[in-house]
Amino acid sequence: MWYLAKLIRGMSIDQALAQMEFSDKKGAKIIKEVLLEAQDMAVRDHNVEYRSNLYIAESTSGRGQCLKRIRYHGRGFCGIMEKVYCHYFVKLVEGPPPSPEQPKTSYAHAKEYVQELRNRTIIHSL
Amino acid sequence: MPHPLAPARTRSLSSSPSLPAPSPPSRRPPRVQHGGLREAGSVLPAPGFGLVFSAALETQPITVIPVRTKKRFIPPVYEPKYKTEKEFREHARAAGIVIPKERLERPIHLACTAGIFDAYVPPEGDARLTTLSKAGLKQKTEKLKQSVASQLAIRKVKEYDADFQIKTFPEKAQQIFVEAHQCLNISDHDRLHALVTERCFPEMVWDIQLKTVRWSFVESLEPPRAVHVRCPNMVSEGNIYGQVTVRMHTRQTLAIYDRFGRLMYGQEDVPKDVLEYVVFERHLTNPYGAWRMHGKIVPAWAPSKEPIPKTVMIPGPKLQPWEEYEEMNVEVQKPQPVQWHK
Repeated sequence: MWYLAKLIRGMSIDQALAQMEFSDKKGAKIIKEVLLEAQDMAVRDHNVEYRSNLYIAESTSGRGQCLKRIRYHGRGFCGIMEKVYCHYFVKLVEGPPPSPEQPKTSYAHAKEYVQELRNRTIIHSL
Repeated sequence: MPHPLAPARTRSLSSSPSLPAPSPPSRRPPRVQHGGLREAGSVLPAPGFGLVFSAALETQPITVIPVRTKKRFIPPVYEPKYKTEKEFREHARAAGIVIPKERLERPIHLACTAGIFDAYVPPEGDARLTTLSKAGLKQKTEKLKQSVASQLAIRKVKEYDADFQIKTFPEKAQQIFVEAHQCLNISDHDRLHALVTERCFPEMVWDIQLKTVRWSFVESLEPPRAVHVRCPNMVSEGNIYGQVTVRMHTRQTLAIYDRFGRLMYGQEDVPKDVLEYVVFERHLTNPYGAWRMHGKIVPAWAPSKEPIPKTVMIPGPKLQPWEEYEEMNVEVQKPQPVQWHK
């Protein structure tokens, strides 16, 4: 679920819905329903004009209350099986999605290094 | 031979003459109830056999024959001598037990009615014609005095409230109206409850919860006048409420902003002429009742309102891959021109 949540961070709502529709994971179906409901809520209650003009600002998953069960192995051995539940949170913001952060170029690295050298102060000097 | 549609008599086995009694005298034969017709001269099954004898014509479909050899205890059925609660109380009282009447510790108090009873139907084309023309004058002279039911209702209202005068009431009503809408601007719900009935309050306030309203009253184009008076009663006979419909032709400005400050509806500086039929209500039997705004009547011929600045999507028909929207003759449904009251 976390991988799916990380996938759609920063995407526009249409792109996120497309990704979830064609993803093989079980959580994708759930996330798609959540996104559709959130979009509907935005248009109905929060005066959003164009339903495509939304992007995913925050998307996280958290651990929910899990149940413990007994898992029976061979030869009379047992293990503890955990029935796992999780929560999914999403925040949609109106507007075009922000442009993805560009990776830092080597030129920028070099500039930063030179600037750091120049910022040094030598104490007790003339 | 009994008639097929005559009700069948239920007979017990012991009373039937044709039944032999092979069982020992200490054991009583089980009781059998037969429904339906029975042919004359037929043999009844001996006790202990579980045969179901179905007749040719069955008026009642149930035939029960218990299959048992041991005597069992069947508790006796006592028919209740009383059906209603009152009878039960009388019986108990005769026996010596007094059941006191249930007192409502928290009585339900209806401060307003649920709607507008016998709503006023505004005449078509009201306030469209000038009073200078003949048709306009005719329209203007339609007075409250001509309607009998309204006059009777006014008389009834005066019974409970001596200070009520139908000539001065519309002015006060307009003041209540203006103050109520100004309370919406500042969202003063406490004052609003005193000016507006419980039925009207959620209608005014619910959709405006997270929005900002800027409403102002510019002027009144015509003096307000009462057009319709009724006195309905709720639940019991004596519980009377008075409803007065006041016709107001005014100039107002309205602008609604959403929670982020974007304009949702209307303009702040452009006044609009508005013709409204507002219903005011008072609980007459309550000595501390006050006249409060109860609702509005929107006539069937009312012009459509200004469209909102937001674009709204109307879901269309579901298309198959080979169909195109332009080719399908889809008609957008227009709202029905029906009078409704809010």
